[in-house]
Amino acid sequence: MKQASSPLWPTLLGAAALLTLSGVLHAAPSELQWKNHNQSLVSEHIIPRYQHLADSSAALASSTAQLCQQPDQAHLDAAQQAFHHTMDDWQSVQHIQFGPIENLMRNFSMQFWPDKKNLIGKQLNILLEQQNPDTLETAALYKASIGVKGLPALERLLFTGQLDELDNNSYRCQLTHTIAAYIAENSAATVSEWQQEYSASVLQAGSEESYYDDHQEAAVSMMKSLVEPVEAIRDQKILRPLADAEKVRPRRSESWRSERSVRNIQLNIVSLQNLYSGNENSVDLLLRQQGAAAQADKISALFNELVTQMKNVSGPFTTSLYQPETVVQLQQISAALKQLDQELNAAMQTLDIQLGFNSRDGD
Amino acid sequence: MQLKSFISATILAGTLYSPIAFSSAPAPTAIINNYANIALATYEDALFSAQHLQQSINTLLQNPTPVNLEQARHAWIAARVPYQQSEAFRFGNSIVDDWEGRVNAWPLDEGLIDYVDTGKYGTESDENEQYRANVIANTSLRVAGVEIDATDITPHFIAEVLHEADDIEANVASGYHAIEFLLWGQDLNGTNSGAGNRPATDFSLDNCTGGHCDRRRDYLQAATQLLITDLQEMVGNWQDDGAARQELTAKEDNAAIATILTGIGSLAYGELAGERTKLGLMLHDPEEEHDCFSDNTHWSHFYDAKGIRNVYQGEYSRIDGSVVSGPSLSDFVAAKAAVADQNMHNKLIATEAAAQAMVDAAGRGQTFDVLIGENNPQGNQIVQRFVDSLTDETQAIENIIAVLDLDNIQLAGSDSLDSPEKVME
Repeated sequence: MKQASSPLWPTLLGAAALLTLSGVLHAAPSELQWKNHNQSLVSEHIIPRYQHLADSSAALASSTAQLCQQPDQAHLDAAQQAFHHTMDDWQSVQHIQFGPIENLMRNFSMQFWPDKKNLIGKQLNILLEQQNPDTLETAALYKASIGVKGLPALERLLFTGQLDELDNNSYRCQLTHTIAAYIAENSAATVSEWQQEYSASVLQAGSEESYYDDHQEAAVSMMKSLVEPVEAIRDQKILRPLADAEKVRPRRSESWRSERSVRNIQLNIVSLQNLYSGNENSVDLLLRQQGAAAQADKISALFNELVTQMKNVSGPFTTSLYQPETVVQLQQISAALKQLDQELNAAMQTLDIQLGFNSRDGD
Repeated sequence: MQLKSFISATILAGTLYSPIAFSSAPAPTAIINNYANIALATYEDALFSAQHLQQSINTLLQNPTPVNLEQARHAWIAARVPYQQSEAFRFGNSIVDDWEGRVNAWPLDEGLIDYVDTGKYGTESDENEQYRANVIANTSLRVAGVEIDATDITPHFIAEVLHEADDIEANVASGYHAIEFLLWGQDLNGTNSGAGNRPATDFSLDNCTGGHCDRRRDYLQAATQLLITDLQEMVGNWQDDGAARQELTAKEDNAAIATILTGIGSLAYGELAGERTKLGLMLHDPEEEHDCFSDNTHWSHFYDAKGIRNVYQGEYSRIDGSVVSGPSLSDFVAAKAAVADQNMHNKLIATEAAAQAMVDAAGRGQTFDVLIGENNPQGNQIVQRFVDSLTDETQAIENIIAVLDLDNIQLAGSDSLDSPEKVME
């Protein structure tokens, strides 16, 4: 320590004076405003979305159980539909990357992607070859690789291969069901932890029991969920498959096997828009209260524009990416996302929110 | 929690209010100059040790015995020591980040380069058509439907044709890891103990194993020469009139300081804690380690973390034992916010201890690929501690950025901020 044991009381006094001052000078949202904002987001945005995911993944688990009992085309179709519902609900809450979804690496367990080295295929093949009955318990999946226990592994099992591979209650079919059951368990645990201790922690920020020092710190997690996905969607879901446009790479797109890459992005953007302005005490409102109506208008307009643009993109990427029209549309969407990212980062300064490093810095 | 808020309030007050008499901070230009001097010394050391690696490889090729192969492997491990410390200069300095892919790209689809055991490696990849192109065994390959002549394996061929062929990042043809693969071969031990075990005769013209030894020798020589050329370029970039030094010194003081902090924060968090460590832990996959052929990951991680410490404390111990040091970021922060500086020191020391625990485990046969195994909870814990300590360290850096009021600084030309990519984490 360069300045060892200086008396601390002048510093503390200084801090108190400064905090009072900064409230006046910066006109950043007050603790009460952040508290109301966080409360709305938890009850109107986060918990309902995790509840949907818990419901649809429970339905997926029972649908895959029925498929193994009666492996015909109708039951496969039903299981695929159930997968789509679960994926819809996951894509609508994928942006929330803090809280219970971080426990036990649930977020990665739910979806490891992109898989640049084909590890999911490799690890899944090893399981299918070994046919070890021990892996057919959800308990075994808790310690297994994130490659073999999430939605991408399930997608491979349900959307590639032949129906007859699922016959006779085969290992393949039972593994499919086990993964679905594991996803349902994870989703149920996530929503129940949110309903109990985690929403309490957010709402009582600053108390001894809370993970957060104050309401603004809790809001930082929420703001990361709004801002960081914009760049991630652009880079990973649009620019990587688009590659250099001369040679597009459909297999780099998310969920290409179930042909829902476009739908994923549509849901992501609508969900971010809802996070931004779809609730009482929204970020949009906070910006306006800080006197930054012009900023708020720009962001709202960009969201509206993106929602419309995405509606016009045809899928699946496995064929539509080869159409020049789709490439042009995606380039425009990419540009709009970049603008949205810049606007949102500027808005964070207005709101006095420091997002800090994100896990995608580097590489 | 309470402690944390107390610290940030104290720091804030220290910065703007300065009720305590602090020692004066060094001038930013002096810090930046020392930073660039350390970068230069680190890249020079990387170059020297790569030249030593080249001599060892020449000896191996003259006489491909197990002893000479072992010596070349030792030289490779020694070459990693300065190079890994240089990674703290990568993010933030766009000249370094743009260049880095040529020398340390990872992970790689090694089937592009040489024979592989498909039982472990698999036979195909969603993303990569050259997954098993095996250029050592084949004098031509197809890239994006075009037939490419691969008769002569030269530095130019590796750099310009093969590396990132078809724009696939996993087509890593050059750099430390390509050389590592040639010296060790695939590690077929899974998450059990043991590294790659390529026989020295893979380089023998008389008793060739593995086939096409002449081309494997050509490849090893060309890749090593290329590494040296690339390192020479980076040494030049940090000399007095070098482009990287010029780019940094041309920045406003605050922007330059922000660049330095961004560099170490991005390395600590997204890259080292996330991509190179936590991902392996979650995938339990032996291929998901940075030095996967040599099982040298514990040292690579240790020296990556050390590089961050060098940058923050403004001091680097060279491979010849001499020390480069000068006015540091630590001095600068200490003068403005002593608690933030002390906090960062504590976190650096904790990270080094966590890295040392992985080094110690490797000494007992528990190398990184063993530690991340599915049924090794104690090993997983050792690796998790390293991730956690880096995460704490990142928070200490964020804290410094906040108290120096640098968070609104525009970092022009920083790839790590403009176009990062990473598994959603």
